[in-house]
Amino acid sequence: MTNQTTTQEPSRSVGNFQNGDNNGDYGSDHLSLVLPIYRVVTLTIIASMIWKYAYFIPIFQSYAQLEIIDPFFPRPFTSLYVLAGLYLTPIAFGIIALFTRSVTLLRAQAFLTLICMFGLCIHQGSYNDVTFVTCLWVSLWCVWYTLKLNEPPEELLKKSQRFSLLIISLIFLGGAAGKWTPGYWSGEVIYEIYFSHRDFWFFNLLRNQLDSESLRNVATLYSRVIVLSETACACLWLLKPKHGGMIAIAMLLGITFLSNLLLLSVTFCLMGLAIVAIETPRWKATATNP
Amino acid sequence: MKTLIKSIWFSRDLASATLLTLIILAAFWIFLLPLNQTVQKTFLARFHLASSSFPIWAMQQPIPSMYNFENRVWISPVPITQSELNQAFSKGNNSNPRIGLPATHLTNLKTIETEQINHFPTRAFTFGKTRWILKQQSEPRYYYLSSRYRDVEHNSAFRLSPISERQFGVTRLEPLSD
Repeated sequence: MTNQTTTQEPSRSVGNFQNGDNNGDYGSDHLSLVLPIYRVVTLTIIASMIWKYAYFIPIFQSYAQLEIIDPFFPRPFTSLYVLAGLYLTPIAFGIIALFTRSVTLLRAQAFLTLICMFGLCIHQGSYNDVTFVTCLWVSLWCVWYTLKLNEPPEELLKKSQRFSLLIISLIFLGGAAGKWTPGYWSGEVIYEIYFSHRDFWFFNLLRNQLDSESLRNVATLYSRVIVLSETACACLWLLKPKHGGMIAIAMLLGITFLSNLLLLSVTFCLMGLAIVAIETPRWKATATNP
Repeated sequence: MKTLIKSIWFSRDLASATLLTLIILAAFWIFLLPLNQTVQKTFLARFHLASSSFPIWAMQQPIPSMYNFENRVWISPVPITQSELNQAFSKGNNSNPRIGLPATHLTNLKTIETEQINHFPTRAFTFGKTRWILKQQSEPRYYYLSSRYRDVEHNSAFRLSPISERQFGVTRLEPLSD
């Protein structure tokens, strides 16, 4: 029974593997404790990808009409079919992961998702889209999680919360460091990208309410708040997981609803990790509230 | 964090050690960005698809870099020089970047237009609907890109020209210089 990677039916396994152990066996009870977290994160990766769907349909049409021949990219990484495959595979396998209890299948799904996300990060048609960078880091977390499924649930949850916050902090650090420039501090960049013409409720409202000078001042303030808050969020890993997770969710929602709803594709999967960070173990909750 | 490292160390947890190492390496590389000009040049070259090779560029792609740097694209229907560019944008109504439709969304390009790009300025011709827009004109377009991080600037120039009805070719040109 050692190194078994497919779970037993509950009736046969409960007696043998009450809480899982370190021998590579995964009891039904054990999986019931550790799988919900994985499924939440997988669901948020699927949500990230599906949120992109509305944007990707016209993009695919555009790519089908015109191919850009650039010797920088190897041929497969300019192909529309490869792009479609890289985009659809994680969704299909993610849906399977929501229902399967086969650890082998979960690991295969996590690895495949990671490979597809990396492929999307280097494909000519999608390399510039941060959605696939955040999904890549979250799928790396998923690979790690599926490899550690045999750990005691409490230990696994603690580690996964720490890694969740580390990854969220890294994403914010990447965003913040590139904004430590005069253009972002003055608000010039953000003004031109968002305030001058972006059709979004927040910027439309400000354009209607403010004269050009006030609008420019608000852009400066807005930009500085972004730079400072992203820099602060790069330190989320220093906080208690619950607090870090809650701040991360508030920040991710703030970024999305005050700038661009398309960013939900970037933030959904990170919110999945933030949910892991604020998760209270169900076995603890049961003990407290019998 | 100490507990995490201790736990990884004592249990010889290779998977966790690998994940932690990858996160630390990525964070370290990002931390070097404001401190080291070589790193800044590497980051900027990545944004212009100008790394020394595709594998080196691909290795950097997992590094998070959303809304990084001050990136600008100038799009022209004809090749231009730096002095022509300066002249075009020193005229009254063009002294500030255009307010209205972004330059990358203009189908009928008559003059030099400019736009600030959030990241990867090469997206001006590789990404999404901009390809459809490129196709509408079916004539060569010239893209002059500039990305700046503090004192380091990376410039590049590209010509996008039709090869067939369904294909445009990318040619890298000499960047503009004074």
